[in-house]
Amino acid sequence: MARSAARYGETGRRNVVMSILLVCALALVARLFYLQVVQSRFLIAQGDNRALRTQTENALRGMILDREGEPLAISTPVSSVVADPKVLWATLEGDFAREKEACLHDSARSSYCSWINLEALDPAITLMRYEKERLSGLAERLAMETGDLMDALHKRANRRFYYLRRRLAPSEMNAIMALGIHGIHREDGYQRFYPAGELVGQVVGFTGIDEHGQEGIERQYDDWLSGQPGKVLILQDRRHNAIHVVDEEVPAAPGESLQLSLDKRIQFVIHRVLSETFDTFRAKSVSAVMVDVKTGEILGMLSVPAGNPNNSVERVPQLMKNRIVTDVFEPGSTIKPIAMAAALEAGVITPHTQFKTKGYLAIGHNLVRDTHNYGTLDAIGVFRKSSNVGMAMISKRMPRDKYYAFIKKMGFGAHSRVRFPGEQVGILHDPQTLDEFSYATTFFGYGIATTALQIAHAYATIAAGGMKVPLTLLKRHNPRHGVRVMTKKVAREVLHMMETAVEEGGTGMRANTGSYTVAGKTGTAHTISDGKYDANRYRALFAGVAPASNPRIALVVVVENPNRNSYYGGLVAAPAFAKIAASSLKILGVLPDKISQTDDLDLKVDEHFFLPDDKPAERHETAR
Amino acid sequence: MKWIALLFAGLLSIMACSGVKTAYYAHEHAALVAQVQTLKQQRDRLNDNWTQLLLEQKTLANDTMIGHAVAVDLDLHIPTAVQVVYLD
Repeated sequence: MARSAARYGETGRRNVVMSILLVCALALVARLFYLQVVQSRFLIAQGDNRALRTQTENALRGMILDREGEPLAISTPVSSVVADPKVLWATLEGDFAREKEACLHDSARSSYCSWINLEALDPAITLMRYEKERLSGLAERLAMETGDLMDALHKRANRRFYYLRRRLAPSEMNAIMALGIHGIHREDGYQRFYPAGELVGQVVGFTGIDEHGQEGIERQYDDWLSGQPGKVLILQDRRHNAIHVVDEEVPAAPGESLQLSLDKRIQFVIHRVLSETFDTFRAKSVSAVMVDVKTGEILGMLSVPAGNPNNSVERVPQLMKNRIVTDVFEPGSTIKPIAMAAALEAGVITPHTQFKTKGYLAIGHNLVRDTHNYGTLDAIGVFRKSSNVGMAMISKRMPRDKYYAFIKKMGFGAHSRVRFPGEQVGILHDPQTLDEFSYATTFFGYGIATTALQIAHAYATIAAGGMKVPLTLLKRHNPRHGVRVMTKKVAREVLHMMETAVEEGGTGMRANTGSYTVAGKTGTAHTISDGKYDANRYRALFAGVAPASNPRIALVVVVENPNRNSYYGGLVAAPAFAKIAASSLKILGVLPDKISQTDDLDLKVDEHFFLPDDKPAERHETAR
Repeated sequence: MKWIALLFAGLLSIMACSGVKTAYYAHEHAALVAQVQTLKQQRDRLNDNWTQLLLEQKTLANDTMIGHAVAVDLDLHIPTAVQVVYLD
């Protein structure tokens, strides 16, 4: 028989139970309110501390490549060994105490047990021996004496951060971390390497320890190459796996690669030839710059002595500065093609205008002299013999404003578009401010200062038929149209004059090559010391273009202070020009224009190597 | 009453499905995030290896060594201008 609940006070019990449940529910709500409202910020922060992490993404610095895609600058991972001396010493001391204790219970526990508890030894000495043994592996991997390592760490015992070694290869770093020493951490980063070393160091430049450009292209295009390291806020699980990207604070953008117009093979040729010239003439420095006449690209640019950017000791201005754009000098006779072009363009002379040179010309109280009395010369003769008197006579016919405007148009006295760090504009006086003699001297390269790059650009303009194509150090994928600065006819006439200067009897005949025709001009100028011309120091130059029949390159060679008896541009700089031009044109695939063409070939076979197929025995015999 | 119960049951089942789907997609999202992280690490590792190999290659095959090998070991020389014939 079922009992009636009412008899036991059903309503009262229900109320009690309901009250208890209500109180529990209220307690839960109150707790919920406390956690969700009152404590919410604190709890969210605590949760974030445990699960949210900011992750950084490295942005690999872009590579610098030559025009053929050969890497000239590469970033590669390196690691630094960082010590926390305070933690390190405290941990070693704690380990020592624990080891002592453990050895008392188990004497075969480790090799330390044989001596760690010897009472005959001073505890301080035992501790030091323990520390030394623990750090010996690290010292060995750092190629240091253990004592030196301990000294270095003791001196900084209260510091929390000390670089023990920077720029280690990842494999070496892994070996160090495998030692498991507390207080030794790794710091990963990237280091820049320059595989071509001194061949391109002056152009490419180098980066600092923070991977930012300090010199050269590295500095000029730092933003482009650097990229941007990323920062992402992630939610981790308890195994530290990212499970959710909360926010991309800074999006990562890897650095872009940069392709230069330089050709590493041409740089190699230039370096080899300039080094020979440097040694032969014991010069102070030798520089060369090569410009592609058709595209305005700089194909080669180097000075010797050159520094290797991989070696921090060689990162000094004397070795690393790009003399092609930073050194200004009086160009001597290499300015004559430009002065001649100005006069032809102005119509004040023709190639056949006659000049009665007598070996000297008085202008005011000053004399302009030639090395010989050449008698009457036409303009071509003036150029071929490099007659200063003839050029001074031309200056008398040339209106100053037109000359100044022409020289400016050719790029002198202004920055090139290359905008290389440290580029100089040279010195170009307004001719209106010059006296007659000073004005005349600018026609044979005194009283005007230029960079080697400006000369190369001017020669490239003449070689391009009077079209001035802007220079660039970056590879050009689309041809750029230049600006016409002289008529085609004038450019052709000047180019012809330049050809005569390298012919037999010309001043630059040593610039001739066996395979390619050459047009150019020698130059020899006194250098300036203490504000005046040094009678015994010279600068030898040769500037020219090749092949003369259809120019592809303009090349300038500057030999600073050759220390042998030979100091003329035709003797010192012209041979270097010939070697560089011949090799470079072959590299560029330019067909020789001096070698006879034929479709009939009488091939003489070297029988040591090539024998008819029906005489295998003889071939074998010969091969042996 | 019956339709209310049915509606309730329907809503409950939709909620259950939604819950399961949410959990599934959260898991899938976490797996994809982990995969992206792994791929990025792999990319960085490959980049590192590649740059190291590139450097090794450029060090072992630099122009001076090649020039020496060509001139001395293989005894190859650039022909002089008179030794070259330009065929039409």
